Amino acid sequence: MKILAKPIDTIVVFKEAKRPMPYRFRVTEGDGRVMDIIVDRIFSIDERKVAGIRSYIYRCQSIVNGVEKDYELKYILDDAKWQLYKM
Amino acid sequence: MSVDFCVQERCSPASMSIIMHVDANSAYLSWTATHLLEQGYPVDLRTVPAVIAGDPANRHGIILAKSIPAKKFGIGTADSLMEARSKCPSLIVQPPDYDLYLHCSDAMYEILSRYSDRIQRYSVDECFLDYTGSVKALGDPLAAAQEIRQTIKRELGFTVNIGVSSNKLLAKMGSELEKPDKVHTLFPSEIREKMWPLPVGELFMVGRATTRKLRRINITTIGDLAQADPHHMHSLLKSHGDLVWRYANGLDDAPVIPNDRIIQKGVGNGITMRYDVTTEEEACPVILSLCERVGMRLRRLGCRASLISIHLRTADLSGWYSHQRQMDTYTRSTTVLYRWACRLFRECWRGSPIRQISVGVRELLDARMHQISIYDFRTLEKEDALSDTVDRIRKTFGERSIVRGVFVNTPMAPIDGGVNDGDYIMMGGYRNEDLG
Repeated sequence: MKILAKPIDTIVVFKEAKRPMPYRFRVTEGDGRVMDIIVDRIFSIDERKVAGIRSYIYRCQSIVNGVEKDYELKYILDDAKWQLYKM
Repeated sequence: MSVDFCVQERCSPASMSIIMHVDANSAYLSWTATHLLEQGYPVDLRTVPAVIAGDPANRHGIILAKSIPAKKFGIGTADSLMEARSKCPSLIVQPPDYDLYLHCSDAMYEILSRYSDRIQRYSVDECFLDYTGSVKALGDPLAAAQEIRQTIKRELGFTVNIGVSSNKLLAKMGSELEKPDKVHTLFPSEIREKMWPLPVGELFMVGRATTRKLRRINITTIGDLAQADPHHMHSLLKSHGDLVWRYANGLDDAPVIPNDRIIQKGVGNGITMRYDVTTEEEACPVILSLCERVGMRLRRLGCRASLISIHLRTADLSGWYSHQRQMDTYTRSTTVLYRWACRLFRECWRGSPIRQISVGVRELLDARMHQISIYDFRTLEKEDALSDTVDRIRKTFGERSIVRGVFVNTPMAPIDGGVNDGDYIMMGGYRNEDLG
């Protein structure tokens, strides 16, 4: 997987006091093409604090263009922003 | 030599302190490097010739931090960017990000606070940690220091040097011994072997001027200074001579004074402009954009200030002058600061073109406690509420989401400056008397 750190639009499920769970997201490709991806599976959620910036890393799996792909989503707590972090 | 042995051997029961000094290696550069790597930047700035510097297009091209490979090209802190590029044409230049640096500093403090409740934030990249009370619960100081070093590296992605000793001075000197990513002990029994052979200029509080004076009387190493006659040192350097002689002998009884935020005596903001300011009409919007950031920082600190100052530097950079005034009340409102700063400008400006303007405030007080004025407290309350609201909007939607009308359709930045120009302790630290 390569680091992309691309900002994404995300639909998120908040359950009680649990961490936010990404449900689906929209990513804009370099050529302007928009891709909607439903998060099929979340394998793990890790908290990170690299460079003092608190974030959650979600290791996920989805079908992208008919192919099963592993990728990572990142939620930056201070900015309340989502990124397609690695794919 | 084990730490336990050193402690038992050298320290009397009254001075059985274990102090650590934790110092981030090439702080600005390594913090920026870590952040960029996290964003997928292809190279680690720490491994190539790279510097942190302002934007030369805005006449801010001064080197703030450099990587070790950049140092090998002879590039030094405070060199001009042009000079640095002539030494190394392939130099990578990145701008400073002070918010990121504060994040890193806070995260480092958070990790240290797992090991002791007595931590002194000495500057943005340095902390003193009093481990004395933690020995019983957490064990061997050297093992704890190694654990701290590894935890910071693993969790935060940057490296630190840690000096372990029985007082602050020796801990600080210990952390400077060999870099990067190392733990050193420098207990009194090790001074002769580890500290005395170093050049005298390496000693804390010995600067260029003192080094020159000491060289004149053949004192070139810390050991020479330690073995010199203290009366001689006093006659040569007065009270500073007493201090450096004590330091050379590893004597320091300053306590670790816990502070959970980096002590700030003032807030300031300055800018070197792309063009020279020649009229008051041009200067006022610049002052307003500087006051915006001063006000925001003041409010973020939860403080009010009562002393305001302005510094002006002429276009040829040959002269600068400043002016300060006590305000009628303690304030944290951008508008009030702006009115006072403009008044100061009118009072002190000598009419010559200006290249640099800085606005600073001092005499800070907790924002919750202040003397209200019977004449205009309602106006002041409104000003405060307005400032707080603007801050909240900016925090949620971005700094430029709400700006003053005066900046609309102008090339001027509505919030300008970016480096604290006052007493903000970014790197280098302060002495104990500053804490009073």
